[in-house]
Amino acid sequence: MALGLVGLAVGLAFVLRWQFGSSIGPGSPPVLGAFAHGEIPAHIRGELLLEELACIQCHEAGPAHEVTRSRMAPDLSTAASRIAPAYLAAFLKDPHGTKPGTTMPDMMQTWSIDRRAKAAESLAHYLRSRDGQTFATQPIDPEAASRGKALFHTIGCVACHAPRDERGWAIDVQSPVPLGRLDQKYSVEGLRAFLLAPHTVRPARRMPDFQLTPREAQDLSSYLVTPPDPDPTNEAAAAGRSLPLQSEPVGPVDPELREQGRKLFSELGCAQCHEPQEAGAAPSLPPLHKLDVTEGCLSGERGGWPFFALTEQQIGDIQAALDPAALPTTEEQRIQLQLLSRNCLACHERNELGGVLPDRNEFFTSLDAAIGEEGRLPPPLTGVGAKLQRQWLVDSIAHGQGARPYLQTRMPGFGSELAETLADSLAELDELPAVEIEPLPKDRKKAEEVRKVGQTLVGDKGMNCISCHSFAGEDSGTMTAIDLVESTGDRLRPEWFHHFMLAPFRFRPGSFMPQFFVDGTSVRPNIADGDQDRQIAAMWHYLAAGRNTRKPPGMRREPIKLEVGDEAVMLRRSAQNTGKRGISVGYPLGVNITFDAESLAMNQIWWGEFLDAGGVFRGQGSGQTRPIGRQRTALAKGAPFATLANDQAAWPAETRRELGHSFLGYDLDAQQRPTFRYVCEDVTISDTPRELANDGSARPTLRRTLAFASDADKTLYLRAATGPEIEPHGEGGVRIGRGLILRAPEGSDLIRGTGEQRELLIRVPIEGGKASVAIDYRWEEDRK
Amino acid sequence: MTRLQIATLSALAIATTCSAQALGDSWGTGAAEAEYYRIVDLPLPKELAFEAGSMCLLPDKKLGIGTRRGEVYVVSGAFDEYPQLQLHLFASGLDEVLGLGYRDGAFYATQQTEVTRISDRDGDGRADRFDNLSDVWGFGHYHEFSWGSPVDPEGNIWVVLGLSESYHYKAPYRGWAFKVTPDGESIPIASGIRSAGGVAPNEHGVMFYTESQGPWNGSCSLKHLRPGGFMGHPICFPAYDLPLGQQLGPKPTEPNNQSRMLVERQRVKELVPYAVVFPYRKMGQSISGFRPDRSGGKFGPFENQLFVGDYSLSIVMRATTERINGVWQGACYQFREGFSTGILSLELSPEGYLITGGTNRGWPVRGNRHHVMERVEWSGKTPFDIERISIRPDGFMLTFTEPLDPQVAADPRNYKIETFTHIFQKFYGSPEVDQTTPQVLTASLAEDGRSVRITLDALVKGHVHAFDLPEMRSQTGKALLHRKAYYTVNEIPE
Repeated sequence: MALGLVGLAVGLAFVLRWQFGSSIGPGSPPVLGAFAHGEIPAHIRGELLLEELACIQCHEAGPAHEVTRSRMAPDLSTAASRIAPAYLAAFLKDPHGTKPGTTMPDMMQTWSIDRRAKAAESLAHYLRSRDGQTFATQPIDPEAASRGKALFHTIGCVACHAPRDERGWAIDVQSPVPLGRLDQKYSVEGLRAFLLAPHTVRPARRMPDFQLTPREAQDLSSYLVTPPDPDPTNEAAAAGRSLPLQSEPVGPVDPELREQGRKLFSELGCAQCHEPQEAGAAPSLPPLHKLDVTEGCLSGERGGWPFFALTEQQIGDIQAALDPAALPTTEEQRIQLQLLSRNCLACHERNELGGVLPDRNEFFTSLDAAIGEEGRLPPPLTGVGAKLQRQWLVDSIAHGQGARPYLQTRMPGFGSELAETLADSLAELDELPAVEIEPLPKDRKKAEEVRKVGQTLVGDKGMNCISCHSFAGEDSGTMTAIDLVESTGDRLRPEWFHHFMLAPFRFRPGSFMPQFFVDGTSVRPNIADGDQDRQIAAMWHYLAAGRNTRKPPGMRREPIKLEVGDEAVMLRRSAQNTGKRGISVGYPLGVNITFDAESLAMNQIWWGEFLDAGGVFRGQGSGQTRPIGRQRTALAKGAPFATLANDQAAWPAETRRELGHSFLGYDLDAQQRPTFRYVCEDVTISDTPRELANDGSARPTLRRTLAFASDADKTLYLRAATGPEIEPHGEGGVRIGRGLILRAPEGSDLIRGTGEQRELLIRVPIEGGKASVAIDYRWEEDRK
Repeated sequence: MTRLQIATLSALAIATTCSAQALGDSWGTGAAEAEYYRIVDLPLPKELAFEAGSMCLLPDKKLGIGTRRGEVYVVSGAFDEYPQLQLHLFASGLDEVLGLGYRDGAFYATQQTEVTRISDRDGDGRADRFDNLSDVWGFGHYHEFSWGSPVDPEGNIWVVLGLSESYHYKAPYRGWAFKVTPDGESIPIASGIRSAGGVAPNEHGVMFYTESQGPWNGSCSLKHLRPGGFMGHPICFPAYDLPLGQQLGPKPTEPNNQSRMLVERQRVKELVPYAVVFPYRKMGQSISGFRPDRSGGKFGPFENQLFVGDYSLSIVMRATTERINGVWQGACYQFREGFSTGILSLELSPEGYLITGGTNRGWPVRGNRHHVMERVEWSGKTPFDIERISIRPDGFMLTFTEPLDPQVAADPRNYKIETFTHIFQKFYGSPEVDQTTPQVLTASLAEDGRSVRITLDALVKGHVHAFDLPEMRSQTGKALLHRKAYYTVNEIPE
């Protein structure tokens, strides 16, 4: 049977390119993508045809059939503005010739060509009267089209539709859901609007919602409406009459034709399946279980009924479904019907039915080749009802929620209605052996102990899950296998987790995931007594707690390094040795400082690499920034400026706020280097630290230039350093800590006090309302 | 049932309740909402950790964004028909920009420890001058967040200072709000704040902020920053003794623990009641940034209403406010769920686009992506929704977005109203208490066909009035997209 269908699909290849002949062709059998997916019993195929051909829009379903009213045809209320007038006319006149493989029946099969053409015209007038807008075309942006081409062949469109060759022609593949000639049917804008909200126009949701961004929809549309290059090797295509995308300006609606069209819309039965549905006599036709298959649609004859151009096999399938002696439909087959009608099986396999077709396989790609096939192909649906929590499953089916960021193929959304029923049936049918999972103890401390065991097992001294899996958004470094905590608690059922951990290969035969429990024994016998049930339960409780759970041991916590290039880099965040109001600056030559906007002191300096911001850029930001480079030296604490009665007077104990000193802000130069501005003791101070190169040394100098402006002349003291390690060094220098040498203007510096009270002061005499001081900071070279 | 099965079931139950309870249930309306309001991803460069903490509108269809990582971006393209963001880094190195305004060529950034005016004097498109406008408040802990408003019509920035570690008073003026003038004067506005999520004018131009559930806050709420007001949390009273604090007036009477807001309002004259209560989990869990719709109808039927984000649940809600007997109150409504990350800030443009931004780091968030900018677009289709609820002396006026089925609308039995309030207490949050079920006596459809005046046997002062309208139908037979709404009655008009 499968072979026969392949033959049918290949046979269609000719028809697909046969376009718009001058006479009405023999009709084209409906193509359902679903039929390529393996051995399906005839009566199930028949049920599927009954559903997809919307038979129950005219016939009652009767008691024994699975068909539902899910297959509503496209809404035609806006067809006149959505579809090019010439295409609409051609399609109404000859649906099978215009879009081979369509499920739309020919409703005028006994009519002459002239009569069809007139009917099509009246219908077009009627549809235009129902639509407030008119059809318009827009130019195609070739760049957008080229991006659209990549999207079309990447995100999953070609799972159902035929991929296209370089010239833009559909490639012959198994069971393509026909698109017809989109270049003749849609404008860029029309198709874009459809792709953004396909369910508005096609309520059956057979075309799922890929939740494209407007930009993506624009790109895809631009690609799909680009006419294919003329194909000289294909005579049929070359001979095919092409339709103008936009014909002459469409005239006003003719009231008489509109009225004829309105009647036809009802009489021909269009309104049985399509919107707009106006009051009309519904045909009284026998219910499905009382059909006489020698008459009407299934007779193979032409007459006053819809002509579907069914193949003999298709008629046989429907007859098998209608046969009262047909085998009853099983629960699994009911699920199959839903998976087949939405073509879920074009991407997913379930119980050995479906899966990616060989001729589409190359279009399923991964962002992370390291994960292998598991990272490339959508997950199987076998047992999925016992694996996923109901709400997760519903959200996946309804909106395309996923947990695998590495898959290039996207899960599209099929709407809530299908999601709810399918999730329930899957949950009911899929089973795993019952298993006891020790619940988390009520006692907080004991619960914490359980999670701690899980944490150890997930870490590098346990099962080392983090060597492959991401954890709370952080990559393992080797591959980006599914995140361990982002969705586990919301996504998985705990029993599934238990069974999966015992034998991962049983669920995912292609997975790299090793088996950690062999013959009831854990490979980590030293943790939780090696008890497999306890270990699995502990891992579950640990991972299900979510992304804010504690990191497992061995998790690499890469610093978030702020790199300094040609310009200075600044970060105002809580800094080590400074407090919440630190302003850290990294200079291009590799010297770095933290200025404290609270105390107004430059209070640390180091050379080499700048800053790790991980402590403030991760989690709630509860940590501090951390200097990464070398020889970090703490300078001064407390208010840095004071007026003293003499060189011996004690430094004021008040904070700068209590002293009335204020921080004004800072300016940046072209290289983003700051000049800090503040006021101390009524003196306005600008403080400009700049880097200077030291020839032959990796350790640059920082020169800090301070300019003072004041209404009154006075001597200000700058306390440049505090702490026990302040000593005179060489000629006019001061050594601070291990190897930082400070040089102030000659004779201005003063070292006093002992131990923690030791301090370096620099006198700044302000004369004529002004003063300027330069202070150099550099490091001694290591002694060889 | 065997012991084995019971154990499995209880394990399952625990697992499901854990995950479900942590973030509440969704409204289940996302799929239906999408037909009217579509959420569109605004792609960001992959390597960029972009955490939009604040936003403001700029001239020339641009958007200013301040980030948790301390950048100020000028963003183009967010309001284009086919949005493609272009990010221009204007300033960086700041400390958690949770408030951003713009006026006369300068940005006004509220950082953790300062309000800073940021300007570009040489006109090269990058900031080169940073002026400290205000740093009057104290700090010490990382969990002392400062939220700032956009620039108000007088050029002021309003700053709301969260408590230390969200519970304590460990540094000057934690739990206070200030108005910072363009000259850098800091005027105390109010005390009693717990932990804010956003500061902005309401739809009438009056400054409000969003408050989180916790001590003295039974649920999240929108609150009026009434000058001289006390917002309910008394732990910050020591600041009334500080020099600036004295300007706010004498220390209010301490509210009694385990009381009711309505009762304490009689005792504590400075106490400002919650204007709009957002019942916990049903309507958000940590409400954040909010903006009025000033698009003149380009964003659908909710012109001049507030759109309020939520961090935990990744949703946006609506709110309307009105001043009754001099006190602000109003209602909140469901709007859109299904955003991809925790919403910290949002902005609504004159073109009718709602831009949302945020992050999911640090706290539990339903949206599972880290750095996301999204845009909500109105499809042009009008959802059948409750447009607004306003109070009347003996009931409410309910306005809908579409004409109603007159028979259904005129039947008082089709209006289900329950009321409740919260315990006003120093402990975390509160259950809903003091429930009543008022009877709807009459329902009369106005001439416009969209408004219904209902009268109740008793409006309950101090209570949230929870509306549920499952039976309501539009003239064309549609059910409501969102059937619930919550009106907080502080005052009843004469």
